[in-house]
Amino acid sequence: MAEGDAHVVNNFKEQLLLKVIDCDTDVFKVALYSDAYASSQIDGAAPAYSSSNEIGPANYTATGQSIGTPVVSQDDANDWAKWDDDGTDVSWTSLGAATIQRAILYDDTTGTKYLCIIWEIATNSNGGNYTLTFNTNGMMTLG
Amino acid sequence: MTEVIKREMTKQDRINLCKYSIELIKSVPDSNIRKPPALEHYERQLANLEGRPFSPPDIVVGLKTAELFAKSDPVGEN
Repeated sequence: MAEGDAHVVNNFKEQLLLKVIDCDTDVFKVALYSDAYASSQIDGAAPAYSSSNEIGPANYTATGQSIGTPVVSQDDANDWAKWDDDGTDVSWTSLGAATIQRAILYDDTTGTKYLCIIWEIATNSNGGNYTLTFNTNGMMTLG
Repeated sequence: MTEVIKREMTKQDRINLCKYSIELIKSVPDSNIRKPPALEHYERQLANLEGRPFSPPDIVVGLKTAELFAKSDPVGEN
């Protein structure tokens, strides 16, 4: 377990198979939390966005930031499908000092704002610009 | 080592260092010809530091790709 490690929420996998979540057209947001990741957080019937333990410093709006227009693509060279953001990363300008230990990607379109991916964070904000950069392989691959 | 110290110094540390240097230089006899330029140098540094708005460094956190594996058996290809 280290900074940047990603954990896919189990219920998200189910919602994908049930066609409840559309990774291409739904609006997805990233929210930041002050409490640490625990493996039990990927379990449960329908974990959804919550403001509990969400950070609240200057220049942070509850519910977090949109990732922009998501992109789903097929990659035959790697035998996977890739889910990525619009390539502009997620950033907060002059984010006030706060303890940040988790970033959660969730679906902001569905009635229940299903959690999708949890990333572990170990770098607190300090008042400067704060940016989360997704890996070149995207937010998630289905291989 | 010098680089490490430079990175870890806060703006306030630098201000304190300038003030300490100024006091130190003031204690040097006026007959020392290096006193005036040295004093001017540190007073200018101090004025710069005190007039500069605080600007914390930007932070960039790299996120890894989440992986979903549809195939548990690596033998064969669908």
